[in-house]
Amino acid sequence: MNKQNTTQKQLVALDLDNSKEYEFLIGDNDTYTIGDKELNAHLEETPDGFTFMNVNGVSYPVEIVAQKQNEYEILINGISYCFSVETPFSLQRRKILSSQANESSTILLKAPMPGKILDVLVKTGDTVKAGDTLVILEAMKMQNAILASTKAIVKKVVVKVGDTTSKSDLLIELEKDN
Amino acid sequence: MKQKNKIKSILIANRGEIAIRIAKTAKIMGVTAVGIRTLKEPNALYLSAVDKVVDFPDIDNGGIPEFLDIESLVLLAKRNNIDAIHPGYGYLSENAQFATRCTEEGIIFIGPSPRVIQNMGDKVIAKEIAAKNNVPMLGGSNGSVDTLEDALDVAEKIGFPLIIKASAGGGGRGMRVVYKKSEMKRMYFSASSEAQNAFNNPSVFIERFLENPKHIEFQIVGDSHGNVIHLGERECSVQRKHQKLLEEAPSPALSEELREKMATAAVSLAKGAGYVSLGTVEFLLDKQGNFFFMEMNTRVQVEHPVTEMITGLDLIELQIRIANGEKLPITQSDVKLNGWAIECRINAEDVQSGFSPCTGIIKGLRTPEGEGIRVDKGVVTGSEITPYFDSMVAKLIVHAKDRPTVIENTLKALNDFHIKGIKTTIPFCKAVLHNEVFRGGSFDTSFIEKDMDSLVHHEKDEALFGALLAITNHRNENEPIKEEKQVLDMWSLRNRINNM
Repeated sequence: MNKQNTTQKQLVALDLDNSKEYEFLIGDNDTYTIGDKELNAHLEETPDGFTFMNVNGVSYPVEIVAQKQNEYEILINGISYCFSVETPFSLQRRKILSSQANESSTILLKAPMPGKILDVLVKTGDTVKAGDTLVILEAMKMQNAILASTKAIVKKVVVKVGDTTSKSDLLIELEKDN
Repeated sequence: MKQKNKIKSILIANRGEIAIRIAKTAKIMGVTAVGIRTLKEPNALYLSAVDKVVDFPDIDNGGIPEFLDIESLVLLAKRNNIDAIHPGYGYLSENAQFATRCTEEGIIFIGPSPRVIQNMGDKVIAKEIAAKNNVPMLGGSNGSVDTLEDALDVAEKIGFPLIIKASAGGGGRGMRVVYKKSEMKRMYFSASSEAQNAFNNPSVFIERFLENPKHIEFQIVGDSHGNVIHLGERECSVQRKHQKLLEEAPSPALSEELREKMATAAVSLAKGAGYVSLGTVEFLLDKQGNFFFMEMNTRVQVEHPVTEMITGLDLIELQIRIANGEKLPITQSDVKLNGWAIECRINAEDVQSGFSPCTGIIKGLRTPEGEGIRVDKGVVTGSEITPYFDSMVAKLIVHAKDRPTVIENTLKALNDFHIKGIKTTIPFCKAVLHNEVFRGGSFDTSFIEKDMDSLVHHEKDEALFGALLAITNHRNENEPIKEEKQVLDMWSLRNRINNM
């Protein structure tokens, strides 16, 4: 059923938030096939600084926010997604590696924005559960609670009350508690 | 009419979109608008909207933020022979001492008198005035509650749940909801000590607590000749942690009869308070259509444009004319509410990460245009969003003939509203407008928590197209021939040069 196509190859975008896989067959002239859908996609840059992705004639505002090797943090319609682009082979390897590394993992909690530490509610050795407030960070006149995303043990508290932090500064190290 | 045009120049003691909004009306009125340049944002957009720019004095004031520094602002107005000060919203807009200092120095404060600001700012006095003027209120302590015994007595009388609030309070601090008697002691003392820490005043009062009410506010306006009228209500129930995110006028919850009753209460409160200027009376509304006075805001509100859209009036103009001693140009019967308006607050916030503020440089900005569409914004391409100021960057206001139409038009306008460089509340506003409970009109202040399945609106196949973007980008990166990517961001470069 495949058209005669020498450049055809397969790439998978893995949604890092929910592990959903999007498997595309790549054809000539910016055509991509996923399931029974054929999509023609290309990027357009506008003079006022925007990038739009045109898919089958419809344009969506997009932005590549960050890239780390084959991992992309993107915005589409102003909404964030994180994808890892894999070949079928690298995806397989990734799955094997992650199943091995599942035990004992350190979570690094970083400042989501620059601000000032108003309160630190945990100390080294504390056990926390998902949703517990760890640190209160003040930025833009608002207090923001930094929460634990999973059950964990506090391994190290890096900041103290009164510290000012830049974006992505390490606040707290957690050890996942299984 | 006495002395016309006392106000020939106005110092705008504010920044961002509201400074631009005030300057716009001043220009139309032939009044000189003076803006204040601060070191924190010397290239801000509002400075290009005013007629004249003055620099905030480069002095050591002990680290007080510029727009909170009463003495420097008063001095700035005096030194430049400016007739009046407009405080906008936030900052010193409801500060009686600022109003007093202006008056003492012969500068017109565009707002009510210091005495009225003081009275309305003190929740206990405000409630006394409301009681005197037969404005419905939630039952509770009449005045402050100074001992635990008194608190327990009040609880006995009004029942649970109840709320303990700081007399000098605001913003949720010094506030405790109590559901049963055994919690009273702990909650009373913690509210009082929090009030002491936050406002340097331990005084608290007690009120019956209304669970999940609607938040409805009435715009009133009074002149110095004894005329007070209302300009209808605004529906402000879409809020998160007491922060309004999307407002509309009128409210889908009010019948003509209820509107009349609430408006009458708002006007009689303002009359009773001797209110002269633009003001807002906030009410809580329960499911049975009972309404209760909450507080009065003695300034122009962020959401004033929805009222302007349905009344066709310029509220800033009214505010300036009243401060000038003029008579209201309209009577109550001239006020006709026409159609429906919605305001979306476009904040630099990451809704997907719990509405955390975003900082960064705006690399692209495209705003919607068209009939019934208004955008009040404080930024342009190249503006930097810093942690110094609040996160609101723009307001989208849409006006149409009825509620279903304005909801559709607002959604269309949001689809044409693009901001690159920071994340914003646009996807959140879309989710609100698509929500069936919102569309039904019966939502209350628990709407965001209870009725929204997703805080952002996902377009059809959005994740799939996002995946496709990652893949096309990956392929471009790995293509053998590629253009050298610009390493340096031009906007960062510009800001770096400016800061050198």
